Amino acid sequence: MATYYVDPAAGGANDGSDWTNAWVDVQTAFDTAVAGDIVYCRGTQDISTTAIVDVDVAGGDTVTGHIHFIGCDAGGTARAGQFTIDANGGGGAQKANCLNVADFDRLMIENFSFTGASGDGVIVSAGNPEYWVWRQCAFYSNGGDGFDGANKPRFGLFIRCVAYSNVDGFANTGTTMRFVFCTSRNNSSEGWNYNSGVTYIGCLCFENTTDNLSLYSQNMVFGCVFDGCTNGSGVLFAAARYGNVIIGCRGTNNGDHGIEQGAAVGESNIEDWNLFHNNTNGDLQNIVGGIHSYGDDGNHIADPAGDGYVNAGGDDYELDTTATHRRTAVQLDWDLGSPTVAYYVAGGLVPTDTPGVGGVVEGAYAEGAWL
Amino acid sequence: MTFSHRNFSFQDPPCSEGDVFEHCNVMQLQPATAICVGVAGLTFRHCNLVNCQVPGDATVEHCNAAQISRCAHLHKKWELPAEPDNCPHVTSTDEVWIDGLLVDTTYHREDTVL
Repeated sequence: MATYYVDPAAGGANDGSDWTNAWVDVQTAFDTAVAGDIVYCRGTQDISTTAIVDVDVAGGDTVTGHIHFIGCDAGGTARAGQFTIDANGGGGAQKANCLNVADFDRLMIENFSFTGASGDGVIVSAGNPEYWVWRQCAFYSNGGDGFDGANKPRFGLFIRCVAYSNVDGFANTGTTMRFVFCTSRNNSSEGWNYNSGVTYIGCLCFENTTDNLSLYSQNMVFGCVFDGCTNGSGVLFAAARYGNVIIGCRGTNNGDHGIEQGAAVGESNIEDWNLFHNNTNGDLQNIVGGIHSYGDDGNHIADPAGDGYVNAGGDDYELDTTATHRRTAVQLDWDLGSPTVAYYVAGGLVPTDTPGVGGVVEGAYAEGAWL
Repeated sequence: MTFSHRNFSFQDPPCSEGDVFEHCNVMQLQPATAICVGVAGLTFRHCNLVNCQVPGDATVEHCNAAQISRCAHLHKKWELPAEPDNCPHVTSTDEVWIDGLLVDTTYHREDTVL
């Protein structure tokens, strides 16, 4: 198992052996590394002067493991979102994508940012790649989606990733994917879109434009927050979509409904132990209200007095000490390396229903950049 | 005033002289949409300025200013003008012919970067 280094600003031998002699093009690393290798990357790769980065040579395996790319800060310390692939760095012509995944399994991408594409930041263009792990990556300010799994990746995992200021944040992510403590916000369409068979745990989805979370079928959503969608709902199930489970979440301050089901009752989607508040057109549409939820549905316990956040307007989704259904609060402080980019994610499901008793795991993941 | 991490998609953002926009989404529906008309001294930093036309004296740093013609078929929830099936965004078609009759056409479409 080898270790390599990438630094577009390096001026040494360009052989990837250490920071001084790092490869100046991350494409070289994607073309060279094999199963079990680790590639440390720092700085910004301006691909406007080169080409879209392709993953089309090799993947990890079940014997030696993943190929592991780790973004680092200028001092060489691994840190969230630190290595940037910029499709519009200014040196040349803007590229359609930052990264094109054309098959191969078992890569782990950690601490990367993908930005500036005229299309999708990351696109899965071929091959149904499996067992990828994305950790502490950012997908932002792209002309298309932040991450587009157009060719249906499978069995993948996103941990503490963030997508913002794209068309959709995460789209077509494929079945059997997992999102844990991720954020999708301020996108021009959906936070998450076109997904089936996906599990969401402790995710934060807010201030997207058309709907926060738009689902197909058989998704499981636990301990997430859907707040402040401009024109749409917190969660949308299109007509004839079925088998979705929404538990321990908060659907608040959305421009349409908290949960909207695009067909009459009977589509076998379930919500319970949730909290809804201040959704413009009512908390639920066409879905039976859970008897342990708070909201304005006839089955709900009561309409809560507030959303319970410390300051939703200031993007602080930690729950205050008096919040109803406070169980859904896990404070997560993820530092992208800029004081203006700090995310608090409220999420996490705890089985008891007594506010303040076993209901809040504050600080459990508050160690900064590392999970 | 500084606006940070806000979503101003498809709207003219609130602008006063000297305002700073950081990590904001100001994406517009139609190419070359003028925003903040007549407001001086603006700064846009790490923003999504797709389809925006900012004031001439604005400072633009590390922003995405691509101009993109959006397909109404691909973005049904956006308020784009209706387009025919065979719109300018069609990149290819798949036709099904039976006994000399065209019975179905599948259109493959993409947004167009201008």
